[in-house]
Amino acid sequence: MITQARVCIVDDDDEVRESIASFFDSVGMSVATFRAAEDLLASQWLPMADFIVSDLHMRGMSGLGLLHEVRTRRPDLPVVLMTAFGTAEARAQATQLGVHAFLCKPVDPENLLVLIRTVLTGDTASR
Amino acid sequence: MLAICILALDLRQSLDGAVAVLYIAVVLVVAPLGGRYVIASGITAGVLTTAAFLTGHLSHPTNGAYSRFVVSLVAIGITTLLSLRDRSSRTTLGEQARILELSHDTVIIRSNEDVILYWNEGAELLYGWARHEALGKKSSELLRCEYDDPDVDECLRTDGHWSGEVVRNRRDGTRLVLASRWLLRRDPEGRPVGIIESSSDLTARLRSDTERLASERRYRAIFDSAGFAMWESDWSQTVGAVLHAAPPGDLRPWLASHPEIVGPAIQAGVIRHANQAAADLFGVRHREELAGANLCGRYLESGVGAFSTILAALADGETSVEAETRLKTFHGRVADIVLRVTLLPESRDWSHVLVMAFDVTERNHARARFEQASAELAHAGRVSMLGQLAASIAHEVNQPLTAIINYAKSASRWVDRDEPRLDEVEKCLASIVSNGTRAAEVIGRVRSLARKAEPQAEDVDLLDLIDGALSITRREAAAQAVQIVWNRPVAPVPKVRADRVQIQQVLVNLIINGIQAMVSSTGSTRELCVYVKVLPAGDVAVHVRDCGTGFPDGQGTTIFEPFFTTKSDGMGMGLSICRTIIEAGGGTIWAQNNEGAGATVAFSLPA
Repeated sequence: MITQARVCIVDDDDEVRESIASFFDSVGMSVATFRAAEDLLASQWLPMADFIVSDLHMRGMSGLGLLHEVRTRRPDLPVVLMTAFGTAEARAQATQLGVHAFLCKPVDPENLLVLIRTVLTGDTASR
Repeated sequence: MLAICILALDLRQSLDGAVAVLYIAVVLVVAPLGGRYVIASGITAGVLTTAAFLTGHLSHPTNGAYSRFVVSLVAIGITTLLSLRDRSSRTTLGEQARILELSHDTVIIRSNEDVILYWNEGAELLYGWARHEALGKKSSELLRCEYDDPDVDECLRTDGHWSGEVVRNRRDGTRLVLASRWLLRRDPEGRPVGIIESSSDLTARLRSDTERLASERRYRAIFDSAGFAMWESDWSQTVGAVLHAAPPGDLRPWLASHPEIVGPAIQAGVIRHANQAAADLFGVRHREELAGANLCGRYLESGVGAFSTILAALADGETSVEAETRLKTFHGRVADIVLRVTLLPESRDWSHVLVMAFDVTERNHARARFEQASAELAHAGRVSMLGQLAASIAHEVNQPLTAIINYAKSASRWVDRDEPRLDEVEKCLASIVSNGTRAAEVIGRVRSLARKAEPQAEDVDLLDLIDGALSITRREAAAQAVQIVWNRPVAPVPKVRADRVQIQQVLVNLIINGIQAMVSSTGSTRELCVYVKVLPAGDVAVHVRDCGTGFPDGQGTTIFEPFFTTKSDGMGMGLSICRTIIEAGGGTIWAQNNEGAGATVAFSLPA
């Protein structure tokens, strides 16, 4: 069920991160938030996460670094990267690493929800 | 010895005469020794005469013996008295001769034949001939005396004296002008026997008079031809007006708050004379028009403050003081002037005060234009800087806006649930408010930087300004993967007097420069360190240290020159503007390469 989907949100901006979390929370998803990519990689959530939404530019490891790391551990886990400064170079790198979507901020949470639902229902259908 | 011989002779009585009269010789011999010796010898002679008379004639006195005895005593007495008087007049004469010797004037005594009989030290000094060289010479031949007065002889004959100017030769051939007084000498019968004259050198006096005159003329010429306004005033009434009215203590603030005292005090100062530049400054045609005038009506309100400073300083014993004020010329033009007031020497009563006035109107206008240009350049720098930061600023505003939209949509979802969660809605609304505030703050900061306002000095907390500058540049740092280390002191630092916006501009500029210096660097550490130091003098210094490539050698100072840049797309005005801003605030800015990687740019401002 989509409502039980476990979504991980990574952003070093507290307000942006918590506001997205609040939105997914309001639609009944399980949400975990992380201030840094390293925090998610070290947490118990990574193995059971259904979806990752991450900022591109962060102190410490960037969204691309996280994507790269996630690919080695969970090759199929969908990752969405968001950025306010989307360079073509970053987009190309992300695509090469198999990003699910590369979105420009500000990102409408409704759109994000549609995206997650599409992926997860598609996922469910394929099972 | 002589007295004993006379006594022996007297006692023999074989000589029938007044032997005792011979004691006169003793008195005369002793006379040069002094008054006391004369008296003592007189008394001794009297006593010995009496003793001899008593010894020889007491038993059978004769009339002859008596008369000889009395004649001897009288003769001895008269001799003693005459010797005493002679001695006293010798003393007087000796003193007078000594005075003649010591006189700085020349004293010469000439005979009827013009032969020099006396030549004092003054004459030796002035004419150059020693006494032994001059004595016996003819005065007219030696001194080549000339005088204009044709009636000298006539004057001497009728009045017995003459005085006037003579011109004479010195030994070295130079001519001397002398003021001379001649007195005709006469013998006891009244016949002229020569001339005694006393002269003083007029040449030296004439020279000093001439020099004084020349100096006076020089001063006058400088005064008249000076390119700046100058006038000499009599402030003797001013000093009274001020000092009588003022209470003891610091005069300046008291005067500044009592224009009713300062006004009349200025009015009491009267111009003696002024130069043409002063006439030009006040807008009158002839400088004579200023003489006798006072300048009370010419000074504007600000004059009270300037004159309080001047009067207080002069009353305090200073002889020269400077103050700036404004005055209105007779044409109505308002001029900024710097007054330099000097008490002329020996003018303790302020009766001779020299006032110099420098018209600084044009200078002040130029300074104002420069300040305006600097402010405009600084503003242009800020706008350009904000342009560089546009992406960062947009992001800083976008973040809270994103959060607001998310919270709003989230709240809507919480309400739409089968069981609306109002507690969550409330959280969302609170977050919307705080994020709205955050966005407004960013915009406010940007707007204050973009605003074109006159620089205003106020007490500024540098720690707050650093916080603000870092919040604007944070995203820029993040975008370049630069870690900002801000060692914010726990204790407050002294506030500095500066323009908040311009210092903020300097901080942002230095931080951006530091970040950009690390963009091209290949070093592993990308750290920008900001720290504050309170210097021993109390100034507060802010250091911005990067780990970039540093400055090329020897460019630690040239980086502050306009158009210096290491960036291909830079104008090179940023640091130049920073220096203008910091130095205008009385501070200094400097830069140096670190011992390790990168460079540190720092500035300090007085607390």
